Amino acid sequence: MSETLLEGRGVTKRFGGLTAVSAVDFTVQKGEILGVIGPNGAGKTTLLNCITGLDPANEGEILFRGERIETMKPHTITRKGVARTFQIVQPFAGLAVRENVVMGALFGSQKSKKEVKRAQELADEMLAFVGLSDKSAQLASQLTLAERKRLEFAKSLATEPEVLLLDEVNAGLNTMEIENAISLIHKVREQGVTILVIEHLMKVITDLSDRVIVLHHGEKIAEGLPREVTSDEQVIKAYLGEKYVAMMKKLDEES
Amino acid sequence: MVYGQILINSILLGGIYACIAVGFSLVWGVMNILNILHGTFLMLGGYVTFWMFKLYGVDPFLSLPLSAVSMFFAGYAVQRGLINKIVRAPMFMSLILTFGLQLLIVRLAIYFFTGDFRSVQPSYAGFSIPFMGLSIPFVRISIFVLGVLLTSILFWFMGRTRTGRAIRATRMDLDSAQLMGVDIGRIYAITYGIGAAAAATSGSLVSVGFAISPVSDVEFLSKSFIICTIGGLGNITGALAGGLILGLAENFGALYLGPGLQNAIGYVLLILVLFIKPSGLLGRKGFE
Amino acid sequence: MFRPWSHIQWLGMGAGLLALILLPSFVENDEIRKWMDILMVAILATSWNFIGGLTGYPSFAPAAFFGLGAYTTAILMNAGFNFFITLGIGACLGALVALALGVPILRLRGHYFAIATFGVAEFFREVADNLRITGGGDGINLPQITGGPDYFTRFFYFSMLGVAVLAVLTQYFVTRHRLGYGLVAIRENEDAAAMTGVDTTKYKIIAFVLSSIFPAMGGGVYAYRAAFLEPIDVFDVLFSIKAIVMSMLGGVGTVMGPLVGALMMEYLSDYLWGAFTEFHSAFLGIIIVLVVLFLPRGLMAVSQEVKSRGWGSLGVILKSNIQRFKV
Ligand SMILES: Nc1ncnc2c1ncn2[C@@H]1O[C@H](COP(=O)(O)OP(=O)(O)OP(=O)(O)O)[C@@H](O)[C@H]1O
Ligand SMILES: [Mg+2]
Repeated sequence: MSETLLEGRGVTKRFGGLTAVSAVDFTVQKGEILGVIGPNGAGKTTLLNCITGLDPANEGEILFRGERIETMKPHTITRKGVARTFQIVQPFAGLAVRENVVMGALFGSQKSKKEVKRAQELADEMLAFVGLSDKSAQLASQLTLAERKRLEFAKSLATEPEVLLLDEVNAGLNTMEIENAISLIHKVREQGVTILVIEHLMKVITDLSDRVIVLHHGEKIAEGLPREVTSDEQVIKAYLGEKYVAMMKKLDEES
Repeated sequence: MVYGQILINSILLGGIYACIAVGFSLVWGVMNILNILHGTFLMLGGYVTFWMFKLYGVDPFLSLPLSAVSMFFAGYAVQRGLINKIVRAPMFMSLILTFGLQLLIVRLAIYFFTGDFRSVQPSYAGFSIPFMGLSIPFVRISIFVLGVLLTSILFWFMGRTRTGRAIRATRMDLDSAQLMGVDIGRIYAITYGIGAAAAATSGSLVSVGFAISPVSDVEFLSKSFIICTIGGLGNITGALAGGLILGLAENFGALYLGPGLQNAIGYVLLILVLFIKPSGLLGRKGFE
Repeated sequence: MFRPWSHIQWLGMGAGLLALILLPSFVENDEIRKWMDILMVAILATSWNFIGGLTGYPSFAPAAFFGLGAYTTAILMNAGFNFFITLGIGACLGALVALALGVPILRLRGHYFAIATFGVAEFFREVADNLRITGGGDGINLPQITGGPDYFTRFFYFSMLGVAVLAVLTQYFVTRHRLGYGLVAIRENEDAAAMTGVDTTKYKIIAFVLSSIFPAMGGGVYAYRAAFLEPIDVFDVLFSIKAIVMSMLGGVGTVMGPLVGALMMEYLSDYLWGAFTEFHSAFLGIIIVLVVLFLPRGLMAVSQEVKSRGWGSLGVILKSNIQRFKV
């Protein structure tokens, strides 16, 4: 049996009358890549915000290595080994690329590099890993979108996480850039980091993940292997709408 | 009986407070500028009324339009010529910029007007209206009514006119408004001008019922801070409620704690509200 | 971001300090007093830099802590305490008050934070105006220092210099260590800082406490020297404004910036319009407007650009500064 690293039980988050995440259960096994998909507004980002403590859940439990973390502050959770990237990238815009990553190395983990010098060494390693070494002296605000997404990667990897939560790292990228990003994710997994990845593109998620869960209107509507999930009727409905499903059915019957 | 009189005084004071704060709230809500010059425009408006009365014998309520129009243009010029240059800078810059202008203008005002407290004393200054055994000063009730009336007109303007809607639209998103061809520089200048005119109007009213000097601007500015924080930004009920709450707190505070601490009460209230609910008691963000 | 000072930079700072130490041996008392004022605003500006420049929280609280320190010294010296002990107590009191206030106030952002800190300073003034122990609005006298003018001018000068050196050294070590990085991360993006593991609440409070200790001590020196305090004098929002503007003039977020700013502003203003004392605040106003428009990132940044592009480009640099943020 594999070991459960991250687990959610009945995680619920409300904004006024809107329930953005509704009693969601999930587990992330050590070493796997778990994909989370769902249409716009399904509650994927909100779920991530609950896990990382940025926007704590109203109900439910979240466990990291068996320890309850749902009431902890974001920085504590990060230091325990949960890192994330942001859908809308959040660089320290006025600082150099290298300093962005230094922050992660300085503060990110329990066994943090308390010295600026050691943190800088780690940061340089991470920049090399994501392929941004030649940009390390530039201001973060001067990077292209694809580069900024890689910077997010380096920044969160510098916190030396056990599990990495990726929020739409491919949104807004072209095909080439997407391929780069995917191979980067694989490389990270080879380092022994467990990954939860939120994605819009079906193709990417099927290539990438070992397991997939599907959110819709804040609820988990399906879970399983990528193949199973993408052929699930409910999931197709959620993605493409009722009409499309009805049409497909009709076509099926005719043929 | 004492309580009744204090209640009446508080309500009258609250009305004028609302009027004082409303221009400040507008500029903050639309442009995210903490306008330190607000009290200064108020003070200058008061002086327009004072000098018109002193030199030409113009009734203070008649010189209101002059005070408003002149400060509208002054405000328009300040925004167009200076503040517009730094609109996209961190919000703190506009605060400091208006602070610099405030220092300069107040110093000049002291030079030209002297630091003395002045008050407009029309012939009817001493009248009061008896009401159920209480006495309501005629001047105070007049400025209360005018203050509330003008505040309502401003809100009507913001909600129902083209310019008003354009102003609210720019608040939403500077860049897309600009892309759609809105002349942001002009809209901002108009907004700031309206804020200055509102300040000047209340300054004119204040110069009749109360007294002004070049340095009283800071006092009115602080009141605006407090009222906007209590009431939240940019809605008429908020401004009125904020003004009323401050008026009540000050008057009853003075009764129980002594008049010396009257101003301190406002600051305590400010910090309490910020602590409990940073967006104001009736707070919504922005200017609706 | 913050590189440790090189040997040459340390030498330069040491030479500067030496010059300040030797200064009283060479100049008249009047000149010493002028430098004492420069040091005082340098203390305020350097302290503001902790919370305003590094952390990005625009505080108007310096006046509050300056006044708090001034009154602490006044009251305790009247009760017979030694002057230097009152400075220490003032510093501790400043730190404690900053800690207590910081918890609620630092949850606010932007304008609300600015207003709250302003409110704190004004509230302190109102309180000092009304308490018996502070002498109320009538003010409070302090024991007169004994000795001739040559002696006490130097005594106050060196006290002020001591506090300033403490403030600058603290700032240097903060910016070269983890703490400084954390504060800058908060300034640049508070959510992202939390997600990289910065304990934002704790760090902000530390910055606020640091920014209040030295003004409190400076206020204590000011009080003993003035020998008489009024609430309106020491809880003056102008102290806060000066601290902010001098940081900006030099360049926020750096150790040297506030020092350069304080030196330029006080010395030049005295030199240029010392005769028009009445209009000091008006000139300060004009400087503020010019700094905001033409030097939004401070003299240090401009001097660096001039260094790399030559003096001929000064006009272009200033022009691009004013173009940068307009609509
Ligand atoms: N801070 C907030 N306040 C109010 N509503 C919110 C907030 N954050 C998210 N929501 C709402 O919660 C719902 C879920 O949003 P969320 O951002 O989690 O969706 P998502 O699955 O990440 O979508 P996308 O694919 O567009 O990123 C949406 O309806 C959104 O409008
Ligand atoms: Mg999302």
